Amino acid sequence: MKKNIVTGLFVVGALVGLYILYAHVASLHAAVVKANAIPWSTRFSDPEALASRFDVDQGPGFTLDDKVGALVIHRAANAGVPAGGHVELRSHPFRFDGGTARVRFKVSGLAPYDLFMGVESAERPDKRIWLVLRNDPTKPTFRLEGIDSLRGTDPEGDALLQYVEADKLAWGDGAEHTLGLRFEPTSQMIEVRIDDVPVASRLIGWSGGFSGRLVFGVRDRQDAAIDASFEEVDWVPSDGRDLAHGADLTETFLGSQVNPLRWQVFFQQEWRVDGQLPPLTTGDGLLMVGRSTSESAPEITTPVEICTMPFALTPLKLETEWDLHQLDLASVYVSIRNEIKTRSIEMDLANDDGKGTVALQVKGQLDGKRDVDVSNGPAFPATKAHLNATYDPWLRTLKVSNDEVKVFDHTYGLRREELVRVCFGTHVFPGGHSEAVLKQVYLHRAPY
Amino acid sequence: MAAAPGWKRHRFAVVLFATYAYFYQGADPNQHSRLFLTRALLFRHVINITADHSFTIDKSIFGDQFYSDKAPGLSVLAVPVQWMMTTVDRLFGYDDNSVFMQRAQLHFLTMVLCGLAGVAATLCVGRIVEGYGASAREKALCMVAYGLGTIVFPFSTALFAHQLAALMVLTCFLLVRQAEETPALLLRNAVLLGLVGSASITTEYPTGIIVGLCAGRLLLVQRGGWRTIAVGGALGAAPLLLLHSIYLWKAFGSPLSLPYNHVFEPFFRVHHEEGLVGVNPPTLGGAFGVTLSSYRGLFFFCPHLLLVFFGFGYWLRSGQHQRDLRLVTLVVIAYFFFASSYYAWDGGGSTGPRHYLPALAFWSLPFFFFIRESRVRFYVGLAFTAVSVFFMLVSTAVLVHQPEGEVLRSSPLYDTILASFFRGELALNPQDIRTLGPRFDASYNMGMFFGLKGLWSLLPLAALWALAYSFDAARSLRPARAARVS
Repeated sequence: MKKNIVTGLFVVGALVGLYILYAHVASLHAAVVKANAIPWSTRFSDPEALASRFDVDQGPGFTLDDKVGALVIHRAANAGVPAGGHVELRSHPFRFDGGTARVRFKVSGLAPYDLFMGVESAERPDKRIWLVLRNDPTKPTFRLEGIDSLRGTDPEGDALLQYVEADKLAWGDGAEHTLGLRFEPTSQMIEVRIDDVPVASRLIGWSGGFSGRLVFGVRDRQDAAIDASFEEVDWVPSDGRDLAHGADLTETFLGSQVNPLRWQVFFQQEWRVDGQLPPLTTGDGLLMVGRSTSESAPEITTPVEICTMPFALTPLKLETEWDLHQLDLASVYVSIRNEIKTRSIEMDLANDDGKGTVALQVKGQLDGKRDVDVSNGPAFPATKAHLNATYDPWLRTLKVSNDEVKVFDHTYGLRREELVRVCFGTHVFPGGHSEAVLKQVYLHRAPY
Repeated sequence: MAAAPGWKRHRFAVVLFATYAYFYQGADPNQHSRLFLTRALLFRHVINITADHSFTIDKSIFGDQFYSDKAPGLSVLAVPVQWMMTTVDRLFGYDDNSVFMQRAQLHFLTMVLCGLAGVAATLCVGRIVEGYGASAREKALCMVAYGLGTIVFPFSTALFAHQLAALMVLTCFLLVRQAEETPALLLRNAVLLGLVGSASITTEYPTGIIVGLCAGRLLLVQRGGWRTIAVGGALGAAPLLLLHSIYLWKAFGSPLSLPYNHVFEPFFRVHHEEGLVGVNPPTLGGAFGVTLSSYRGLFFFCPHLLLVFFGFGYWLRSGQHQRDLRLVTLVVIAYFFFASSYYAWDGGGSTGPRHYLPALAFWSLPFFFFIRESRVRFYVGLAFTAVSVFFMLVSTAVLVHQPEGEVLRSSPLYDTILASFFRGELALNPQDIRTLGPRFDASYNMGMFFGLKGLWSLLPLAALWALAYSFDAARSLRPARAARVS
């Protein structure tokens, strides 16, 4: 008996050992496959695209037309069908290991229906996360629906992110928009992107390694006309290297790409000002374009700005390289400011007199003072700039140099371990126009 | 100069503790929930965590107040440590609310409550196998395998209760063995068994299984002294169980109403309302998941534990310490059933099946019977342990809270941990002790703390081990060299 038990244990041990060996080899293989995962993109200008990659679940009353350069989903008003109809398009399964899902679409007019995109498990479609645009006539909103864990139950009627107003964005104007969801299984984050701008994020318990489908479509809430067209659907796998972790940050913005886990982008929601980050086709850098569209704009506006994620302030070294294409009554700037915006330091390369030269200006709260102090530096030709700065929050001293020439050495109020962001952007004065390329950023933060 | 004997005696413990202390894992809902109860008890003299509840999803609700949803043992034990830190901070004028101090406090609490528990449990393992006749190197291998080659390593670096409870159940085991060997100590050990067992249960409820098995064995072996055991055990257990009942009664309206009966998050509530607070009959997925899977499998993460199957065989064949063998077998199997029965058998964000951790010390004993008295088997054990230690080191250095996934497909060790490690990306946990939302400086190791980057940040730790053992290594090489020369 004892001998049989011992033999049994040895046999089980050997079998389990073999399985574990297999599991390690299989995991290594899967990791290599993941590392080599390729993005895919479907453009509905290709009439074969729909059939080749998607399964269609089409409710009554809806028509689909993919022969007109886009995938047009239409349903007439008063079609006489009960509310709750939908069209859902599911991609063929692909290995989900984190990445960005995105759809580009147009909606003609605002009407009470939802347009959505998301990802779901191929085997358990109830395990899903959808970003839903509620294309409401009075107040367009979006929300995140689904489950926050792969083993979780679907919270009926509940949402991971509740309805958020989207009325600042011009929906229903027939213009192109995008909805995107970025999954980072490493940090268990999901990020919501509207028109390629990160607008919200949330911790979720989704990891990679399963078979997923990308889903998009529309669903009605009333018997109203639906007219939406989808132009492109993308899946870009994450390479898992976006955490921007650690003390140093070197950023060259490859082709104007803004990594959403490093940066948050802010556009000023103001009709008298226009900010853009257009693609840059020649070389690296982030092209920032800002324009005041009205003489009656406020004195100074910030059309576009990108900021790091918040971090605790320790001695900081900043190096930036700028190509200044055009600065008419405008400036580009680097700022360090605390999260609640009560203290900041801003270094401006400003041309506010229209003379074609640029002056370095530093603003901020001097130590112990609440009012903003402004120091003006020398002017130089407006073509290129190397704006470098160090800030020591223990001594509260800021040293600024341009092209290695020391310009300022002042004492400011930002405190050590204060939660701050470093931001880069452009200001314009009424009638002003800026166009500059932030070629490179190097940010070094000393440890505590 | 040779190291002093005293230093040599404690060297392993010191270096092991330094290794645990080297990593700061940042925060997470579980740690937050425990820490908030500690602070509520100390600073506000209340048992609710309503003031801080927005930082954590691991919470219970009763009436209009939020409470920690954890067994309170660890939080209560943390009170004097937190008090000491606060007093020192005030004495030296440190700002308790600064990010730095908040992190330093969590780090210190973890060192004291979990790091020391990890070291003490490892020493207990060494003591037990020494009692079985282990040689110095066999004992050392068993201790390394347990303390650095299992999930004891990562969970001695974060403020979870598993490691503290593991130490307590191991203490129960030692008390039972001592009471059997020395009947004169029966009453004393029964009282201590009650005390430590109740402390373990109120720190990690499921460890009641192991405490019960230990007590059951003592009753079986010392049948004649059952009254002494019963009375002593009850006396020892009464104070903590009474305090715990008062806590439950004050917080949740009944002395039998556990925090898990009142969890706030709907997702958790759905599961805790099933079975016995989330514990149902074992599932195949859970059983596979905690043992073999690349997702959370013990054998996958700690390959040296595979040798335990053979170890049980050798132990049975040896005919020695068969009473211990029976108890260890029961503990291993019973806890396996619990771990695969709990709905969250994977432990959420975790390295391996963390709920199984309190029973892991018992795996060290059959491991010892595998490596003993055979040079070949010793080196097989050493090789497997080296792999386990590597996996545990990279998991601890990169991310203890490994992401959730599907049991059959996901492999966080390869997909996330090893991939990040070889890219030099360490300390990935973005959950901060003081800030809502992710922060990329929320966790770190001491090398990163002092400015080292990537894998270089582990260099001081490697140097510490090298420094501690280089003298012995050099000396052990010397006689062999002398023999070759002669």
